[in-house]
Amino acid sequence: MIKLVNVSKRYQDTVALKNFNLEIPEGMLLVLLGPSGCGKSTVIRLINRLIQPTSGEIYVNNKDIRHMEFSKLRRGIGYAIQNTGLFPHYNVYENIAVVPRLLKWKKYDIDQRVDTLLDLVGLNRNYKDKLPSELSGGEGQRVGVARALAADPAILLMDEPFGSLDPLNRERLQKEFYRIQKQLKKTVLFVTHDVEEAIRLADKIAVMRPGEIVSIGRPSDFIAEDKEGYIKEFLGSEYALKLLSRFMVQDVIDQRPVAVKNNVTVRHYFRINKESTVSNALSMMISKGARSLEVIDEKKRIGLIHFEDILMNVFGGEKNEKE
Amino acid sequence: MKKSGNAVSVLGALTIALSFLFFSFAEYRPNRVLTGTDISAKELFGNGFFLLLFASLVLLFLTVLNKKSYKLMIGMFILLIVGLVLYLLGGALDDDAYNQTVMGRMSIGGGLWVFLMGVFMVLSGNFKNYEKAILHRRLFYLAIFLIILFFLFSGHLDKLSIMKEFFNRSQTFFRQFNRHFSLAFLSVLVGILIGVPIGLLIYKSKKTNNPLLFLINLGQTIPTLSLLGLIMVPLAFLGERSEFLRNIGVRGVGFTPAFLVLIIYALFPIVHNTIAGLNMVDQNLLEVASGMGMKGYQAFWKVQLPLSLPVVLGGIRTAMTQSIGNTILAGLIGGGGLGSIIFLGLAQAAPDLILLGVIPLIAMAFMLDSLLSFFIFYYQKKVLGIKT
Repeated sequence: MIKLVNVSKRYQDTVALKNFNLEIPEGMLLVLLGPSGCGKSTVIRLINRLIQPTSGEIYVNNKDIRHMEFSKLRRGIGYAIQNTGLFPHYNVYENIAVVPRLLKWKKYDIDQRVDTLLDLVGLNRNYKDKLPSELSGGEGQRVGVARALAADPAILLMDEPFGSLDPLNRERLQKEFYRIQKQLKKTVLFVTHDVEEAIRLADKIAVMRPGEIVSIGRPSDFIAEDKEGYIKEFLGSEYALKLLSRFMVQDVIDQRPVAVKNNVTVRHYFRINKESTVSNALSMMISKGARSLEVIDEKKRIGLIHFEDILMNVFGGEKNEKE
Repeated sequence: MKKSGNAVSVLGALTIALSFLFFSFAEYRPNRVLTGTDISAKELFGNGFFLLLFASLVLLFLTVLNKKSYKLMIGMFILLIVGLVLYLLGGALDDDAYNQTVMGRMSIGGGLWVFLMGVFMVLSGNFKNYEKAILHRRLFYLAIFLIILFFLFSGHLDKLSIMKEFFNRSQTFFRQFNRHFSLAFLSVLVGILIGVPIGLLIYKSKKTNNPLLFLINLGQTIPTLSLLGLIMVPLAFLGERSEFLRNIGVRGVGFTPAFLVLIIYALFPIVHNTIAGLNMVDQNLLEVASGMGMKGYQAFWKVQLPLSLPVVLGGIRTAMTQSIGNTILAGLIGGGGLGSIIFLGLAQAAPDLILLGVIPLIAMAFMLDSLLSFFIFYYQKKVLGIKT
């Protein structure tokens, strides 16, 4: 659990944060979304006490962090940053082992943990001896995530961890991180300026403008935002389309047998995997000129997805969250 | 890139060929101080001259072709030529014409230095811009060094004037050689022990006008000889006043003032490189180290120091080379070292004696420098994973 109460941070004459309040309950992934320079990273650095607030209180697991020892606080928080932040003179194993070693774990336990984490982030175990310079950007960032998770902290602070990756790798890592988070249920504060990334990962999004949060809610809540203004401008006019990437085809699948649908046998030539996103499905519908697609699961046909169902289910409010 | 390396090796091969054609390889002198007569390579080597000329033309041809697969062959060829020159030189020294009087001496001529310069150029130009270039280059330097040592110790070149000087005073030579090495090495060692912490202190203070830095810069601006003079006065004074200090070696002349001056000079590159190295470490990494829960000293020892080490070592390397050179001046104030041999040679106008001081000096500087630079290279590649 992370809680910031009336936190302000001033640098000489500039105000980085003013009366900032935020609470992240246990197991929630909250994305702080805002343009660069709005103070998102400041929030993270305040929580692990890399900087001190000018005023206000910060609680981690119900404890006021001012009363905690720096190193003890930080060793209990996983920390991942942009451009991996891996130590170039440490190999993959040593990089992941940093916090466990600081916590004086036994070598056997560290070995086990590193293996588990490499499996978790989808890296081959024989990567242990590689130096960061021998890794690709995506691999390096996976190690960065593994390192943040190393000592199994309850809390993760992630400062644009996928920011420097190419779009393909970024999407892949987002998907895997989403999967990992579903499995581990950490309390995560994730900072980004990428709206799509926020949509893909967040349980809740807090939209920031310089120094403050303007709105906070579930990703689908923002679709109802019809006032012209900062939020709409920042999220972009195609927010609804971006939101589609949060849902998977299997969430809106129509599993009724085809033959009885409207008493007409319809042949569907275009197929889509059940784990594709709804935005992929819509894109295929548009490019193929089809209103329905056949949904397959490992080459087996399991149902259909219809354009109308996307409208009804995703935006109709019946099925706003996938859970 | 590739072209520039090639140009250097072609020029080197050309230099080698020209050294055989136009320079004297030896000088015959009736006694140790009189000016002698130059002896060309053709006179000296006899028929061997044509063999050498032929070999150097082949070498020139190989360097002009500049094929990657020829690189090692060129290196081996150079070794062969160096060996041949030394072998033929030794043979020529035995010639009766040069051994008629006891006082008569054969000295190395300018041609040999030009030749060695050519060898150096070919090696540095040839072993360049490919994966194992630096390793190969160093191995071949080492091989040439060993070949020269072999010929020196085998007795093949004993009739060379410089070897005669050596045999006349071999005990002194070894003593001064050791003294030179220990003065230079110990001063750098103490320089490291003082300089690295000072660098760290100045880095921590985050001030550019740190008074400590000012003092160290000041030390560097005073010419070496003047600093020796300056430091002799207070040391002599202290030595006079206190028996205890005199007993531990504090005197105006000898080892102590030389040692102190060398330390002061070693401090400059070490301190400056320490500060630069520490500053160079990515601030993000230090913040991550701290953000992951490393304490200040842990972040320093585990992250900052290892990452700044190449630059710090670079400073130590500079200090080492500089210190070996500066130690010559210790010879002026009774501190010993190869400088005392050189200054004796200068006083007696005996060039061979000067060379007896200078050549080992160059070899010492070269070996230590290679050793350190190779270590830095290896560290960067294997420990830091920097691709070169």
